[in-house]
Amino acid sequence: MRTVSACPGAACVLRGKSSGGCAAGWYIETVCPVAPGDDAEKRASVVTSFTIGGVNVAVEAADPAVWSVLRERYSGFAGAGSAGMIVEIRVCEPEEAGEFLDVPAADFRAAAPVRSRSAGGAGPADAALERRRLSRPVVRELAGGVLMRRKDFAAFLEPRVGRARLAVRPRMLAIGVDSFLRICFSFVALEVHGLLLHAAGLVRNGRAYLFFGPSGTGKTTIARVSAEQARVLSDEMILIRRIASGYHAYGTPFFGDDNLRKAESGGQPLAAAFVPVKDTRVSLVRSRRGPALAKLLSACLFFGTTREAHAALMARANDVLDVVPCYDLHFRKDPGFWSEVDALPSAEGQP
Amino acid sequence: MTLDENCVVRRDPRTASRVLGGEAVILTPGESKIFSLNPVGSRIWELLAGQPTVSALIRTIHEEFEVGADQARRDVLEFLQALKDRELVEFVPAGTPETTA
Repeated sequence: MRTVSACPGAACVLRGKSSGGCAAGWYIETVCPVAPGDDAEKRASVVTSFTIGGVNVAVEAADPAVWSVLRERYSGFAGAGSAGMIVEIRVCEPEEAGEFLDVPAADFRAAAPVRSRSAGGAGPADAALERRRLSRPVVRELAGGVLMRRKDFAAFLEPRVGRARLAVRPRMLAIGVDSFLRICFSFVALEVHGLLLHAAGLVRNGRAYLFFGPSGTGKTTIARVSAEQARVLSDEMILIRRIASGYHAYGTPFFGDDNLRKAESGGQPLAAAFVPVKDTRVSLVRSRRGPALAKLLSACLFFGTTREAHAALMARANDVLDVVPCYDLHFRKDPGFWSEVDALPSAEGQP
Repeated sequence: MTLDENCVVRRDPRTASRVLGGEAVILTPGESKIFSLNPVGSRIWELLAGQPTVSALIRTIHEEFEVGADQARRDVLEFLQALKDRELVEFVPAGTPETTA
């Protein structure tokens, strides 16, 4: 992660090339360094940059509490990317952020997060459901951008321009920024010809392998038993992107407390994808295409609501399976399956 | 509207789908639900691209899958209703401008 102080009002200039809004045309033109001798109090904000899935993220924030959150969570994600987005973060109560987000007041009101029901007579199961309901963000696709609101944050993302504004509640900074970035990247991934997936990504002999499937199928187990055989990109969320004739897999900083708190940001050529199946013996069977597509779609983190967004998601997932060979991997709780994986032939265009 | 055999059936235009190896995968906006269909259901989904009437659909399934006419009718109607309940298809009276365009 690179952190530079920035001149007030001139932190970053993000220009879109005339490439039809394609994210590949984004670039950060200037990150204005602070002039030597500037007084700290004159600095309006700090720009912190990191890279997720090869996409530069420049965050502008005036509140030092935001800097420490960013430093703690995203410091392992330095690196140069080919595309960029700028995020302005303000620490304030989300319900008062309509003006800052610059969205029509009616749209802002319409996306108000759901309120808690009265707890009368609710049991533990009801309470858990209620917590899940409240933690779900309201996401609305408006003309030119995506409005997202939850109790702890409100944000507006312009995915084609590569710009976002985030208002996040004090004391909820880490979780608010994390949730906001996850939603952002579910949209940005499609813009950069990729997908954000609930999956484990491992690298062995310079090839990346993707393991996806419903919760409990063994993604984290595979990552844990492979400590000596492979490098873990992430055991929770992987961003994959089409690069030339193949796909590359990137680790992300999106991981939960139960997961391996370790991820790396670099992209690696994706050689194969697997749907893990816990078994008493090891075998690899080429996945049937329809079920594999359904499982891949299920693994996508996706908040789109429009027909166009869903059509783009379907097309991208289908393209992944056109390019990346996909197998049902029956495995035991040991690294023995790697000998089968190593014996796989390389697909055309893949490493 | 209720299911009438003279109705035209068409996919809900909000859905996105692929039929791969004879198996359809359908994605719906809103709650982003994913549906997988078995081979017969997938064939019906394929046929819906042509916006057939319910009766034409029953006839095709009766012929292609060599099942009795009554069973084909019963199964197709039940399946179409299931698709409708999940907001995957729309029923439009035959002859309306949007089905003859």
